[in-house]
Amino acid sequence: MIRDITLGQYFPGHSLLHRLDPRAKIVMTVLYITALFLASTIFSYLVMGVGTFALIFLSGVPFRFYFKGLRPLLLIMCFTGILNMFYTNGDRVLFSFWVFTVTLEGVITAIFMVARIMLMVMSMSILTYTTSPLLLTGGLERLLSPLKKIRFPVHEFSMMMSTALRFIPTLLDETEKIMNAQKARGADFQSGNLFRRAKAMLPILIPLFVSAFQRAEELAVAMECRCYTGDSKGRTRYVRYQMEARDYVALVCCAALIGLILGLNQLQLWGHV
Amino acid sequence: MSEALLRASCLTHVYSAGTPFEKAAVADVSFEIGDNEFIGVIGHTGSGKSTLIQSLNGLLKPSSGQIFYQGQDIWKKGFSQRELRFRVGLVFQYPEYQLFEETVEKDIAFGPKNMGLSEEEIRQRVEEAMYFVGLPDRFRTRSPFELSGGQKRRAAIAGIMAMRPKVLILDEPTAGLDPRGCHEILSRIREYQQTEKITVILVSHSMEDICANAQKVMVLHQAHLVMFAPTEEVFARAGELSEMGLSVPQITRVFLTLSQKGYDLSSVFSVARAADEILRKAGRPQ
Repeated sequence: MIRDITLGQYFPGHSLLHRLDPRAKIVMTVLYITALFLASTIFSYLVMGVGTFALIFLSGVPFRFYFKGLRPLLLIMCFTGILNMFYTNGDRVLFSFWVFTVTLEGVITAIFMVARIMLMVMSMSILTYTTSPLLLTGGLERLLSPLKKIRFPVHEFSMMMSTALRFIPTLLDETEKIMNAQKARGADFQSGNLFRRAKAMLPILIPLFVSAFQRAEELAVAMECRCYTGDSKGRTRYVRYQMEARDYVALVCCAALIGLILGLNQLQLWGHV
Repeated sequence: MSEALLRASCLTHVYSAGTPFEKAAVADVSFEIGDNEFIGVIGHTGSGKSTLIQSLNGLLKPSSGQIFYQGQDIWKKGFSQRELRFRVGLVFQYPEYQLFEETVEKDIAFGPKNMGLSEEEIRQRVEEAMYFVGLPDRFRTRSPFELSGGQKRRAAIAGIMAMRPKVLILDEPTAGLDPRGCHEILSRIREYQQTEKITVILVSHSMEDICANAQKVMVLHQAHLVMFAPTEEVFARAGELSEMGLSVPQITRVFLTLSQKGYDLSSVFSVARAADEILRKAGRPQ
């Protein structure tokens, strides 16, 4: 169950996507999601879909990991789909019962919404699967560095993020360990009503918090031992970022995609959908 | 013939089956464990010890093969793994991480409470478990988080003992403790095993600890069970053990070197036995 959470995971590799500059990749993801939200017709969705699958292929990360990343969102997707199906107004009624009316427009909107969520999560997964957390936060820090002018603590922010990302797998491992230890003492997480089940989580949460705080303190001491003082003057970086031709080409492609989607939106198949 | 307490038959556990990361942690392991035994489990890191012991109390479902508890297949339909865990108690490595209650007493009572025992019974068991691990009564109402490392470890072990399991499995119960703490915990466990007539399975990296306590030793190597024999027999095969990257007790090494140098000495694995052997060689009565 816990192993299903793949968001924030990184799969080492040497594909083209792995080699792109992290800053370029972050901007590309933003552009890509913008294009996704602009898409409003079947053609533009098709292009986005094909594009996403092409990128997944390029990333070299096996397909099923992307589907695994979607699994935790299944409930949200179903919910969105059903709500959109029933609450979209339209005139081409497919069928109706009691107070519900399902229209062709509703069904199409529902499909589009679900596709949008799916593609969005997948494209973000492409980013995190192909970029190591360190590069990701490093890239983010560089991108946000103009905000330092208005005294936004960019460095602290990205340090917090990379620490958090770094500890996700550790905490997951720990959760599993504690869960097994409590199961060995007969803890039961599956039966009972919601209240009882929430109470059954206490034997996991308390040890988890205790060790997380301990870990945080140890980490803080270790960082201080290495003279970490935050974003002080004269701090140099080990990783240098260098935008190359391929990064610019990729960025231009993503920008062009937005144009393409806007153009395709003009093509209409079923009236105004 | 009566059924063994625990029996594994062709037990295999494969992680990430069907992916490139596929790895057998336990491969085709079969053995029988009887009542009132003290068994040591040794093996290199990654040899499958942890997977094996977690299979024994039904936390991990084997990929193939079966485990029988008193003759019953633990993964047969209708067999409750939760009930099994009360009978086969497992103390994980660094068990102090599982402490969560406000008081030591309540924490030790967590297992017995899950068994659905009466208040009176629970109180009695907590008292008994605390006695066995050597925690003084005044710790009862203290927070487990106030205790020292060694005391926390004892409290966590008591939490399993209070369920009065028929089999007590301990994964490196002395890791990270000072030598005195190690010795005390082990002798307490030994005493508990003898008084309660239960079976103990001890996983340890310390050959001295295994030698001093275990009657039989299981040796795991690259997911396979390569030896399962009385302690003397296993440590007599010192050469094979060191080929597997396992050490033998210091005193055994000393005696092996001596016999290589031409002294006629039999293999020993404890200092007391070594003394006897030397006395025998010297021709004096023991």
